[in-house]
Amino acid sequence: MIDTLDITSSALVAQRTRLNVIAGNIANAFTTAQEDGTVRPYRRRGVTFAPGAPAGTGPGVHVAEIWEDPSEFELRYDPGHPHALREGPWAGYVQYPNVNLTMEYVDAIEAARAYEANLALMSVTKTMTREALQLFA
Amino acid sequence: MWIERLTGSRLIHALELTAQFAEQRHRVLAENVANIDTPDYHTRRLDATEFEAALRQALQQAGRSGTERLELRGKAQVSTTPDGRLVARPAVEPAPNILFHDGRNALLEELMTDVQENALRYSLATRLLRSRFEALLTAIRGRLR
Repeated sequence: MIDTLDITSSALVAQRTRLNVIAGNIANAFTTAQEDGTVRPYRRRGVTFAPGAPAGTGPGVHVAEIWEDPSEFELRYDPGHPHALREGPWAGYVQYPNVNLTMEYVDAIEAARAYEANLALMSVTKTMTREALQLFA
Repeated sequence: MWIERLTGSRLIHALELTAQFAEQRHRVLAENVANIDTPDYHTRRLDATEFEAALRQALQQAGRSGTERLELRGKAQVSTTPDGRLVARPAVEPAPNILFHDGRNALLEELMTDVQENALRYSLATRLLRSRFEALLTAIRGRLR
């Protein structure tokens, strides 16, 4: 019964990681430069889940990979922007991250619902464990 | 020993097996819910009706032969070991789901309903066990309370 709690908590960790990645995407939805100052927009990130406990063997779920979305950046015409492209056919355009806010919100809701479902399961597990302990009371 | 005759009765054994089955099924369901967003994950299932059929069969068998031990066998998913423990082998849900293109087939509502139904089964088994032990205590004391 106790290892069922491990399965559920592995899922809580995985869904929270996913939510953190989504929060990072939304926070950086308009970031046009990297941390070190080079002009390159933020790339959207995503997670991939895989079955199995995070630490080696056992049942559960874990985050197998956090990847960067290779799709095209969004271009917006803004010649006054310090990060606008200086030369080439797209001179005067600013590259913005490939983050789609609508998609991120929908993903966030999905992650939150999955988190809630696992929390509900955890409380059922707790009730069952309590009932088992009452056998000795 | 008379105490073994009291505590090793067929009914108590059946309740124990039911609780063990519910516990293992809960574990399988928890795993399914944990992997609700995992691509290519196929839900696993432990069939409650199959367990009930096996238990009914075992009870009838024990009633005919007059033994107090229950043995579940001849079923794909549940069986008992010689020391009376339940071994469950969950099957992978075969039904493909055309709703999700990433190969999942989990339905959250169905899973949560199964979880609640299973928790009730566990609750029933443990409460009946408890009342059975309380009846024994009453008999030992020789008075009510």
